[in-house]
Amino acid sequence: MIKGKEDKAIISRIISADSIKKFSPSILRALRCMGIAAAGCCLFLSTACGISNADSILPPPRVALITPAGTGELAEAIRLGAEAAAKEHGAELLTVEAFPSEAATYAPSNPDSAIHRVREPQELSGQGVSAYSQREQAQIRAATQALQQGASALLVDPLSEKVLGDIIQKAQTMNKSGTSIPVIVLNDEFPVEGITSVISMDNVEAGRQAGEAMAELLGGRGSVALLGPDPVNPGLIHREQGVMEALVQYPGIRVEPKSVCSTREVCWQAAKQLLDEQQVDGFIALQEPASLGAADELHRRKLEHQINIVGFGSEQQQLEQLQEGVFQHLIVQNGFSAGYLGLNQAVARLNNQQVQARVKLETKLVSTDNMFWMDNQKLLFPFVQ
Amino acid sequence: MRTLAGWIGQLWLRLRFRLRSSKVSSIRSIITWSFSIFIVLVLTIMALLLHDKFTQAAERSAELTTRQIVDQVSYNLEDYVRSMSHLYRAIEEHMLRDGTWEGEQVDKQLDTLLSSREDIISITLLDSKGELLKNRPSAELKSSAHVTQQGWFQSALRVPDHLSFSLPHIQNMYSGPYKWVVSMSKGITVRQNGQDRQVILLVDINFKQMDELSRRVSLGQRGYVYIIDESAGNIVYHPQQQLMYMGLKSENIEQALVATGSYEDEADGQKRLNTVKSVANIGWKIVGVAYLDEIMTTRQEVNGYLVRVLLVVLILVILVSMLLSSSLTRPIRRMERKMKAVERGDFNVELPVQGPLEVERLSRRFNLMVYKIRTLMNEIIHEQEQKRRLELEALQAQINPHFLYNTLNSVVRMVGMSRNEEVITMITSLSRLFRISLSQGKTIITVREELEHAHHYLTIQQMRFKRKFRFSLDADEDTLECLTLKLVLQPLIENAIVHGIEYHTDEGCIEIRVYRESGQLVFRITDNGVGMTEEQVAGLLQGSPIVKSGAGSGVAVRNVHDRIQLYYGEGCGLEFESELEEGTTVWIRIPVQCEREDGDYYDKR
Repeated sequence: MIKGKEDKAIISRIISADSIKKFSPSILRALRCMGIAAAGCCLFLSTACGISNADSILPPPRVALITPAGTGELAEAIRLGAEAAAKEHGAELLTVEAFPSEAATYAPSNPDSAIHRVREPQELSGQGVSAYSQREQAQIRAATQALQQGASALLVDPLSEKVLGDIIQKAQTMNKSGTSIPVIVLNDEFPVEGITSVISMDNVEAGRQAGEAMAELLGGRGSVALLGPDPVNPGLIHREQGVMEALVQYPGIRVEPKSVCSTREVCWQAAKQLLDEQQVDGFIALQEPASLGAADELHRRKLEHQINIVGFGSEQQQLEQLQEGVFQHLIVQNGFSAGYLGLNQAVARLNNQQVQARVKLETKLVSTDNMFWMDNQKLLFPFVQ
Repeated sequence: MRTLAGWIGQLWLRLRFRLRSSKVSSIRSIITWSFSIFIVLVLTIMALLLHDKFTQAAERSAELTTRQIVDQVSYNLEDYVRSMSHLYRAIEEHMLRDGTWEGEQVDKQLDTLLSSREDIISITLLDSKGELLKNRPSAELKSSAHVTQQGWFQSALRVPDHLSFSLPHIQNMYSGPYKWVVSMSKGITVRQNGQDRQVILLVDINFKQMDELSRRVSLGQRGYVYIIDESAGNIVYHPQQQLMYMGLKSENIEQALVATGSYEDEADGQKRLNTVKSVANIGWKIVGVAYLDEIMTTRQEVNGYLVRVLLVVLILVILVSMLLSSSLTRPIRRMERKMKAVERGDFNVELPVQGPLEVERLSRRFNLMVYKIRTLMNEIIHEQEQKRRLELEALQAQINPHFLYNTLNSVVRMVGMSRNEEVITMITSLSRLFRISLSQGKTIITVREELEHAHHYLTIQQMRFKRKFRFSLDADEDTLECLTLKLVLQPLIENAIVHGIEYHTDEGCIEIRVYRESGQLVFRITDNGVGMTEEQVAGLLQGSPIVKSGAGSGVAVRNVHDRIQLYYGEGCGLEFESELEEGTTVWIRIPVQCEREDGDYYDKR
């Protein structure tokens, strides 16, 4: 553009010099015509080049997937799904691992981590630093890293509401071009503002499925105990709500007050206490550790086949228990489709297409009998080892 | 047909008229536009042809590539399956050679085989009821596995002595991580202790290798390969198998089952190229899927590129043809300007001989033509001048015989009266007169000489008319050396005497005065004779002799005037003022010339 103008200026200068020498108006006119034509040509060529350049260097959208470290097979399935979608859309998938820094207590050998630790308090200004666990810090760090690598959308499976809030804040401020980066939340439904889209299972429906399954196992009568962590997570609240909704319809079923436990160890103790105190015919374990804890207790009491457990999740150990018949049912979430749909939403958003604010994933009830059916195999064992 | 031709002809005429009447018909625009249109036409045709050829080639090569890739995958898979079959046979031989599978020797051999191939997960020998006979690595069989219900067990029982490959599935017989395996199973009849016994040998191989083989294949950016089971149409491998189970994606398996070679289909509104190839021995079919719009992308790119090239070329062509036409028309316009100059009468123009050959030739011809015209003009001018000189000389020559005649008449009369002294004076004056008259053939003389001439003439006339008049000659000192056309005074003096004084009763008086007036040299001749009427004055210079009195042709005055005008040009000449019975005054006005000019035209010739 600028070059064309310069050319024109130079040409007009030449013309004026010529006109002084020759003083011939018609030659002057011809030269000016040619000059204008040449300038126009330059202008056109430069714009054409500009257009073609803009065409050719349109980069593929970069989407970062941030899952909590060590969340196992579900995260891995999400990654597979996201990869499949990325390939389908020609997008680039960044997978940022978020491991908690174990070197927090002793002198760091890696200067980078030292910088991180010094910087973190400022980064998280305004909020109590101590409130974050190491895993949460790691996740925030991973999101920061992804943004630095130029991600244009984030798929996040957040550890907590606070972490999600932080990540969204970063996504809205850290971008170089000034526009906020879409954040798509997988597997959780924290009520945080600024989320582009939420992809998770319908927890109420999943809870209902679990309740129905339990009622069927018990033949409509008996006592059911709920095991699960403190309901800080709206997903879990919905799940519990679903279970209750289903069980209320069976007048013969008595629901014991919920025992709160968040690790396998604590849940084992809780189950033990429950069984010591009263007759329980079935456990509904709202989370993976709870189900494993309950199974441990049943195992110890050799009551695996008398007391039913319905759990959520599809971790290796749970599946083994399911095959053995310790669990009667597992409510399984399809991680692959979460990743796949999440990336689809991200790409749609980046292409300025309509984005669904909430995508509900189907959950599947898998039992001991049907777990090795062809379609369930792919669901429960998403990858080839 | 005829009307059409007529119509077209009319259109053409109208168009031509339009073209003529506008700037469009200039050579420049003709060259520019015809050039541009022609080249763009040629380029467009070329581009269309190229584009067609290009896309065809691209599509063919895409199809070929897909075909080759699918073939390659198929060969690899076949190869792998064949090697696995060999392995199976080896295991079978080692294990069941002697009808027994017990013993350390067998264990050792199996272990060797196991360690040599990491993709063998387990070797299991079962009886027809599903009871474990032997396994390697040895582990407990899970009761929850329900071996007899598994596909591989049933197909081994169904078709004995035939090695069957199962679909990939999860192996759940042993504890430990669940693995995707393909089971090779065969029902074998073993003779043991003289009794036939049916056993089933199962070798599980890791699906990882086949998975990777298929996963690594890429057909374009989004294309992929999937494998189906030819007998039942089950999916063996699909990169998005989960999506298919979830109903987010579907594959047209029926078509793939019956198809051979390549076919096109449409999924999610996108056209795809499918290439099918069967894998021998295992009964699987590989389907390669390539997206056609990726091939189209090449086409679009080619399109865009061609359009860009076309635009750039168009601009270049316009530029070049403008330069070309202006380089052609510039000399023509220059020529036009020069011709205009010639039209205005400037023949001293010359076209620079340069530019293209034709223009150069034309310029040379033009220059020659102008030169010729110039020469002709000069010739004409020269001839005209020649003519004028001759005329002048003839006019001058008219004076002498006229005067000589009159004077000689007087001399004869005087001699007759014996007035010798007077005769001497007269003859002397006459000779002087003639000397000045001749003055070596010069036409220009000084005022002094002219006055001397007039003096002698007057002297002669005075004597002839018996002192009937007086005369005075008076000249300003600074005029004496000025130049004048010779013999301009004499005819006028003669006129004054003959017409003014001769018939006058009183004594005449002729006064001649020479002076300068506003850059002109003025001779004033005044007489007090009879004078003339206004008609006579006006008629004097018209050349028509009005007064036919006495001697003389009556053309002398006119002669003087013509001579002066011929020599000095318009604006010079005679001027009369006369009144009856009062007298006449004549003014001769000529430019002041005080030196004899070198470039005096008449004298040189």
